[in-house]
Amino acid sequence: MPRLFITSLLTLIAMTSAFAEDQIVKINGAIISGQIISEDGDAVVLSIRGIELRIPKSEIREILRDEEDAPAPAEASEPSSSAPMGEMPKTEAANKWERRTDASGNPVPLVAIIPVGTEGREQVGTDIVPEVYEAMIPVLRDMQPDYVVFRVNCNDKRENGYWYQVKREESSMNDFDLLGEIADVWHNRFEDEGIYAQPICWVEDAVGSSAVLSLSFCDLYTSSEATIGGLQGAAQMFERVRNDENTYGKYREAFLGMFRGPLELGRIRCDGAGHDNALLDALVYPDMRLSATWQGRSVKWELNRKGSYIVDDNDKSAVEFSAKEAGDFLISKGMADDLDDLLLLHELVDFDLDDTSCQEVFDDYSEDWRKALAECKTAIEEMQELQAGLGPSDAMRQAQFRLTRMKKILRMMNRYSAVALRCQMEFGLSKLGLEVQIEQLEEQIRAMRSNDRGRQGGRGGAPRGGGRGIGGR
Amino acid sequence: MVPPGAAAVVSGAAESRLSREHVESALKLIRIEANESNSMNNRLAHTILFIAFFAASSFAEDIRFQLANGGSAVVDVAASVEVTVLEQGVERTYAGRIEGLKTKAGKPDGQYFMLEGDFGRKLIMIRDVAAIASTGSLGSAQAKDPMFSDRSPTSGQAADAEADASGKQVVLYLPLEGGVGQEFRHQEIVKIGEHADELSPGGGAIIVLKINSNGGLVAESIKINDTIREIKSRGHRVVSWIRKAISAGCNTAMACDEIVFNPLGTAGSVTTVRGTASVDESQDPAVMEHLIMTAKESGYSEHVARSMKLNRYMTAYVKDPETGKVEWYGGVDGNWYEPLPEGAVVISTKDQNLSFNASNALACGFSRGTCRDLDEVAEYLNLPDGEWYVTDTRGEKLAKNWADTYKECTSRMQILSQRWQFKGSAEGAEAQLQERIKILREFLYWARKAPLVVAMNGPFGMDEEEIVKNIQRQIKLLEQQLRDLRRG
Repeated sequence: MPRLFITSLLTLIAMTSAFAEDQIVKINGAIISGQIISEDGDAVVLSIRGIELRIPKSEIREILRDEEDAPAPAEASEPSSSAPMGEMPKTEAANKWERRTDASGNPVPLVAIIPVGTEGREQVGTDIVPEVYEAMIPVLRDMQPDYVVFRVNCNDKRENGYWYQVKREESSMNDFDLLGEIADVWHNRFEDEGIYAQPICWVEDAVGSSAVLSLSFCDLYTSSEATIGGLQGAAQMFERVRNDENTYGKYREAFLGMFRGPLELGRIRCDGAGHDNALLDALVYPDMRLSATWQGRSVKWELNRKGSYIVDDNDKSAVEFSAKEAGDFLISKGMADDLDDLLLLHELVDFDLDDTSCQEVFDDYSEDWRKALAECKTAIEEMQELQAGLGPSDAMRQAQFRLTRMKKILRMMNRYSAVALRCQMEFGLSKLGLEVQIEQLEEQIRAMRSNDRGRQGGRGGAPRGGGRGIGGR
Repeated sequence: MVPPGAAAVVSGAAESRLSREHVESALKLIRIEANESNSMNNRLAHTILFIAFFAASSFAEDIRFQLANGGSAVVDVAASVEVTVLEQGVERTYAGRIEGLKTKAGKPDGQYFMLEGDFGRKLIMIRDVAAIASTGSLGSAQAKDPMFSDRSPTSGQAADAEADASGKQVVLYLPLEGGVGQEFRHQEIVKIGEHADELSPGGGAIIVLKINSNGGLVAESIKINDTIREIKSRGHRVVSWIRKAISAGCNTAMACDEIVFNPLGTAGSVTTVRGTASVDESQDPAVMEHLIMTAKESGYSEHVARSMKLNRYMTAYVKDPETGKVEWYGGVDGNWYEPLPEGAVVISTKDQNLSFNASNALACGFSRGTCRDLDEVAEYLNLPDGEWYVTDTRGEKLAKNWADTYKECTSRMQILSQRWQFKGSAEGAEAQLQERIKILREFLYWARKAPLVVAMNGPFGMDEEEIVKNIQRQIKLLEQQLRDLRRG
């Protein structure tokens, strides 16, 4: 209980100290700013705009605390390795990204890589969320790159069939607002926060909602094996109202309107260049035809057969583009299988590259929430086993067994929005539902204790009520 | 967008001593600078570039409207006028009296006035005025409307009314997010309107409504539109800034004086749905009629409204590349009411519900601008130095208070409903009855605080008054049971 109190207090301090900024200097030189909300012998937990990053101490060179609001370590088993305020960090951060100059004395461009998925951690809506990219802002602000390469590697079709058909919980989310929020961070927030790098999108795979995000960039390149598409799963959402043409029409157009948002924003950011809404419409809806007409260095897209080249005349599946097709239809500006080739296509020969700093932020987050989800699944399995007769046989111990696991799941759901989302998708668990189940279980336990005391004192009465709870049947 | 350093616009009787020559020279300066600004913003290209006043007598004022094409018109501010306004590229003519003339020195793009006529009160952006001419005298105008002297003093006073004590334009901001009838209600709009009246009694405040909604209840949507209409009629300027205005959210946006989009924004899809079935106009003509009325009042084409409601209605437009004037065309079931001219842009086919994005909304004039953040909204509104500010944060507080209440209420409704099943049961019948009475009392609290939320999320029916009575009855019943139980 004291531990919980201290943690709560620290969280409160971190929340109320809006201007407190602690800094973690990692061994690789990266500096991450945020509020330290807890610390133990192994790691420091830093809150960056609501995301909690657990940074192993083995990766930390130095911890710089905001002097006024620095919270004491909650469970520090040894003195913190904090250095005195102001002794180093900014200088060292600057040194890490110190600019070289070329033979002519011009600074050599710095290129930062921003991951948008890696194989196995590529779910738009859990791995790829606005908060992750917001958490990269302090790093990028310190780094001040000249170019940021958004490296897109999300594939909703890594197995036979799309995720939405074979493993729904892994498919990218078609959240109405999510894609716009992510695009907003990339195209607006970065600049608002003083990051003026030129964005480049490099698609290794953009199958699923990531295709929409990729098309928000006018400077789009692909690898030779890339695919752009896989959005027809989104169109499935409204099949249940298909029998009413007006209801279907309403949902369909409202949904498309929201999906088009990132492309609209991208065109504004690219002074009118960028990708056409018609292209996106055909990527989403199988029944839409698509034809293309080359007009100099651009393509006019039409949702009919009237263009000079019919791209999609099939009403059974939505269009997808291979890397070659994307190049032919000027969706991409070229193909590159490695970063050197990519940047050469962008006429960058001499450059410095930071491909680790943002990757670490991404990896930390996706590893942490997936680990937390795995723990939740274990807890649910244990409760299912209990229901099947494995585990304690005593009613009181059974209730306590369930209570401990439910509380653990709730803690993970509160900590990671991705875990909450996945628990909802996979097990139908909501935070609110879980809270009530915990309350109910606690009441049962109290009643059992009261009955025990009653029996000891000569009073009787069996506990009543209770519910099957999670893991039950 | 705005001619930088444009000469101050002279307004009101206070400046009546200024000579006509002085004003004319100021006009010339503005005209030159404004013409330079055309390359920066073609929104001004076909509209009024500035407005200036000069006193013709101690009681009446003349207003000179200088047009981009070099033409100008002088009207008596106190007389009845006939105004031709460019709305969505369509010219419409209104007759009435000018009231609540709002000007900002060097800010012609944001100037406007209220026109009072048989149609009610209408806010007219000066940049949208294509032609204007005096048609009557002060005396007759006053005789027709006893409110004239109270609500529309001299334009000089009216112009003053727009500013707060610090002399700045009154600007209020109300974010409206969530389900219409749930998080997004008319009550907050009523309050912001009342607050605008306090800060700017003669009208002239600017109220920016951020709209981010997937839609909601038709009945609430009608109340919201009535509220906005009333605020507009009191001379305030209501601007909707759309992030997402689907269905009833779009209905709200269309009731405002102007629409601007966030680049990610979308608006439309106003089909009325009950369950999963759409409501056709043959089943309920009122839903279509209400949207058409809203569209017409705000200067949008009826075809746009129809296409947003039902798939089978079609809409197209043609935009004159020279003047920017938009001609609208409609049709139904695959047949256009008149042949489409060459170059017509079809925005809704017979199989399609109409929903706009920022680019096509701007192209056809449904929206007047695209603003990615509030600073860009400020630029659109021509606030001083193009910087966003609010006169006070009442709007944001109103929105937050209700959002918090709503969130708590919906959460408590779910918890209470589940607690009803088990709470106290482990401790016997008496404890359970006590717990249930406690639960009902909390339901009663919420039914009074957030009646519509309880109606939508609770098991007590939809009629707000009946819900309270229903809960009170149940409390009495349980209290009786408890007494009986205790008596044994």
